[in-house]
Amino acid sequence: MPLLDIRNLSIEFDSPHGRIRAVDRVNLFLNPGEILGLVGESGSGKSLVAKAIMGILTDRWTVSADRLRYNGVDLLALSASERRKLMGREIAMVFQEPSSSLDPNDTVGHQFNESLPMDECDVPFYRRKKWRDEQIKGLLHKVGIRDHKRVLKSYPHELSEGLCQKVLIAMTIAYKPRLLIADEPTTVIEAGAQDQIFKLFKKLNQLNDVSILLITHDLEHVENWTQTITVMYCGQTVESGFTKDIFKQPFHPYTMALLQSMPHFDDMLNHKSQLTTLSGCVPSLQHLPIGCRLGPRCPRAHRKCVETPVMEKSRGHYFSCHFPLTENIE
Amino acid sequence: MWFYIARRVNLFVFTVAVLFLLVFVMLNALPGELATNLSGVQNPTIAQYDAIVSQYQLDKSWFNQYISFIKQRIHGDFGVSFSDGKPIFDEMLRLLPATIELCIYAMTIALLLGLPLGIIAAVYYKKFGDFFLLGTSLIGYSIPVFWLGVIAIMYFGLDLQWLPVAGQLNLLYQVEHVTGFTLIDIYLSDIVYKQLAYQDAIAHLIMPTLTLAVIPATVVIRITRTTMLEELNANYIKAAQARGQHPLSVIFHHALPNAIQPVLSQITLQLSTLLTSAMVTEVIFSWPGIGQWLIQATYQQNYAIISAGVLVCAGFVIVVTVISDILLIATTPRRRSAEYGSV
Repeated sequence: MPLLDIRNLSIEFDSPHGRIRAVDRVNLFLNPGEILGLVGESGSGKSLVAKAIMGILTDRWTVSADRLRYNGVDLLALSASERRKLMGREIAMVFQEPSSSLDPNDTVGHQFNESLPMDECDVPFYRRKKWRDEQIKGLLHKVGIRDHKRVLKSYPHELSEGLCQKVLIAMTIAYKPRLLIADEPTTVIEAGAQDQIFKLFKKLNQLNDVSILLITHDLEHVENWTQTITVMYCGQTVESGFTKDIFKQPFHPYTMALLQSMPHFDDMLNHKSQLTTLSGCVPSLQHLPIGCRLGPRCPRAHRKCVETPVMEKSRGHYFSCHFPLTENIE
Repeated sequence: MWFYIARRVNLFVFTVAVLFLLVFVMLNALPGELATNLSGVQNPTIAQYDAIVSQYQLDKSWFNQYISFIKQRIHGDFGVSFSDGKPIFDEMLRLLPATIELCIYAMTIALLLGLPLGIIAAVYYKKFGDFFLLGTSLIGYSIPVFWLGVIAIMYFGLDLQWLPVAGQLNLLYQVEHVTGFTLIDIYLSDIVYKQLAYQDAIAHLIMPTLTLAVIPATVVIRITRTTMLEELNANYIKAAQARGQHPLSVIFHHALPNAIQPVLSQITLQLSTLLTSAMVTEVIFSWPGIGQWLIQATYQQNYAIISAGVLVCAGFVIVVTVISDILLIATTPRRRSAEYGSV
């Protein structure tokens, strides 16, 4: 049974131009112990999907899905308090811009105290403080922060983004979650710390058996750190399957374009030559094309593309395209 | 932090200097003798005139006059009143506590009402509670103070006869003027019917305080709502929710402490509005405060009192603004870093 099973998740909001479907029938499957990469350009609705899973979207968004299940539990049917028991304990989330994910008015240590699992504490009250300190120290060491005393005394603005992200990861693993959603965890982090964070995720995945949903727009990271990926464009799932397969033979023109836009320095790249991109740009939410949303930009588009393609499966490799790259068009 | 405080104090000194300059120019421009306007002595004898000229250096350049004007005022010499020749400073000290008392109570009520209601409006954003509170606060903000006061007197004072309509305390209670704050004075005095005096003082306070509190309360509701909404959409709130924290804990431990700081800084900006409405309220309820005294002085064209009133009221607003600014810095870790204070 997949740990996270999402079928036809749609996220809509009402705008002055009528109801807009920002995320259109997205499918996601995440098996226990797996690292799944969710790839797409900015604005393709990746973060919305993550927030919908966590249930922290504001009221103006409407979420509907045929299936939105975590470990067999229907997340949409949960009451707020039942959901709270799941969030943080079973499912945890790491955000982009880590320093803004910490309360600017509060020391890191104090905020850490709030996210400790106090129901697991079995020591009498007069030894609680020591217990907490020990726990925090252990967690911070686990994510690779050595000078925990300085970090705990500081306010978020006094720490670097990388350090903040490590603190946040330490906070999320306090409850030993089974699923970690990482929403572009390294976009604002300096290059040296990026690799540390990914290594940390890998370690969590291997040692603690944490499944990770890694949301990113950086294909390089996806190639190295994930087993399966799902590619999104404009709120639609385009293709999903094993990372190796997709990188070897993409089925969807958009995935192909993404792969081609990665500079490969091994093959002959001429000086100052242009990298390949799709023509045009991502449509705004008010002017979404009907059918396959890639249609206007797609090099293989046909008349049939005004109908939304159905997800097709070929040996564990899902894609939604009428004219996949493996078929020849006459 | 210290750098920031030094900057604020610097700013304070210059603002006050400009304030003095404005008042000085105003006194020069007013009709009548400059010596009379500055000192308040009407039809001075020759000896008095010579004393004033040497005191304010009127025989020297305007800059010397300006400096000696500041010196006199800072040493507490505001001249004498045109009408009765009493020293203005003593009169002001006698009247100021009554105004401050009224303002403090009104501000307290405004905060006690406005903060919780503002939080409620933000939490129930775009629901009935929000619309109801916004509508009520709009009505409250639009009602003029003078009209509200008169209506309150008519209804609660005259029709229902629940509350006294004027003054600070019934004349029956002989309470000595020590601090000027009625409730503290009653506590310090040794009259027999202390309990009854308290009741009477509070009955006198209710209507003016509530009338005065309406506008600041609505302002507090609106500011609290906006800043709370801003903070509730912030990333760290989402993160706290995603960690499974209880919504009440999220609101009171994270959103409120961050939202309250802009609220407090906005409220100090409202202080000048509060002072003006306090003057109107004092006139309506015959409250023996500085506002009523100033408005009477305006009717009598008593320039000495008017200039003193302008100096003291504006100075009070500036002092409170600077103090609240420094307090805000001291309580906001983000702003304590040195670069925040620099422009």
